[in-house]
Amino acid sequence: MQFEESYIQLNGCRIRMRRGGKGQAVLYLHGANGAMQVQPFMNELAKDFDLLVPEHPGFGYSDEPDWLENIQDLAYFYLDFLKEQKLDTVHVIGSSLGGWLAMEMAIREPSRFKSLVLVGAAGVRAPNVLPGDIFLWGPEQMVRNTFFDQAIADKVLAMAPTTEEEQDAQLKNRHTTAKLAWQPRLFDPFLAKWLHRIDMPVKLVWGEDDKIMPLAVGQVLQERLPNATLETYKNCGHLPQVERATEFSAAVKKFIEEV
Amino acid sequence: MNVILFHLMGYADLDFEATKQYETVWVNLPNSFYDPKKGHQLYNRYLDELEYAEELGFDGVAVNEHHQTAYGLMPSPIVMASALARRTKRVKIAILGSALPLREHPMTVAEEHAMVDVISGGRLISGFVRGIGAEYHTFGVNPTISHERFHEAHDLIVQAWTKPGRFPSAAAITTSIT
Repeated sequence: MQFEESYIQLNGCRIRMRRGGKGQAVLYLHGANGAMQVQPFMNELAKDFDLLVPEHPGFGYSDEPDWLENIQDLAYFYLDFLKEQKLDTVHVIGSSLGGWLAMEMAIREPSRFKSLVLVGAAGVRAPNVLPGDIFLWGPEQMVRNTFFDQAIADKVLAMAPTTEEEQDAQLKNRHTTAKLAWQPRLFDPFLAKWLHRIDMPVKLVWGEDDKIMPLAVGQVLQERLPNATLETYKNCGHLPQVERATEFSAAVKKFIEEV
Repeated sequence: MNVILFHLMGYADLDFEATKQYETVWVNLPNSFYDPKKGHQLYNRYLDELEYAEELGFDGVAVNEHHQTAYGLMPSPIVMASALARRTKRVKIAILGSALPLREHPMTVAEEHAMVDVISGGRLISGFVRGIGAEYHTFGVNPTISHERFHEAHDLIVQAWTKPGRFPSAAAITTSIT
């Protein structure tokens, strides 16, 4: 599947976007590590949907605007983005930090969402459970703790960014993640009380061995969201869309088509 | 030129071999490595050394701030400075320095430094720092806005000390803690 790359100017910020496929519009919101490459699961989803993969302001090859101070700023940016792209309603998939972002959008304008898939989403806290300390971990530890299958971690480590441009983009991802998620760490204390507003069909996808956003967070979301089901993967870490690309893509396709 | 004795107050009794599994003596080191009986002896030895500096002719003594580390036993240099304020008569007492962005409100630093200065009869040298990276893992203060927080806190402290009139402490802060 061919993805087209474009740059979009909005709110004084230029962002990079990949878009591929035909069908219902699906917006993918990436996590803390950005979306520098088109991943196999994106190719799979683009076979059936019009998949939009923007790089958030402050990430990858997108600008780092002065107004970007917290996750709510990003949520308002993307609500403006939907308007700018003339997408009245849309299916959204959010992974990790992107899942948190999707929920911040959804409590504000739930009517824009046809459905929502949350993958190892940040944003809320489970009682007495801390997320992994992504800022304290070294770069290798971070990759190893992201995946259950260490063969995938080895592959990712072998593909470490080589060009200066790629390294800068990775540093930018880390800086923006710190800005948005250092404190309160990877959650918004004012989000949980409004979760009932996220009343569209929600599919929660979680790796049972997620060391970054433990499964307990997914269980809290299942309890608190009015219309959510939780699917978990055994022997899987924080990124089921990477670790279980085929199963993940098929399950998400089925969910979206049945909404 | 002034000659100042600067103490870092390391935890000298640390079992280095046993710490190796943690790769660092900052943040990750469990509190089980600290023995308060040894800590008691070390604090008193170090304070004795700083007090002796006056007798030896030093112009000043200095203390500093670090957190969650065996590198230093001074999470609060102000506590050490206040002990020294009463046991010395002549030397300058330098706090080098208080880590401003880590404080929820800079007024606490303005107050505590002012107390030491007044108790010691104006012998305080007041230093401000941002702290090192590890400190931000301890406190959770967002490091991406630490510069802004430092400069805002610095200016407010100077104003609290120098500007005549009522100080609008509660309303003065504009840099968010997050």
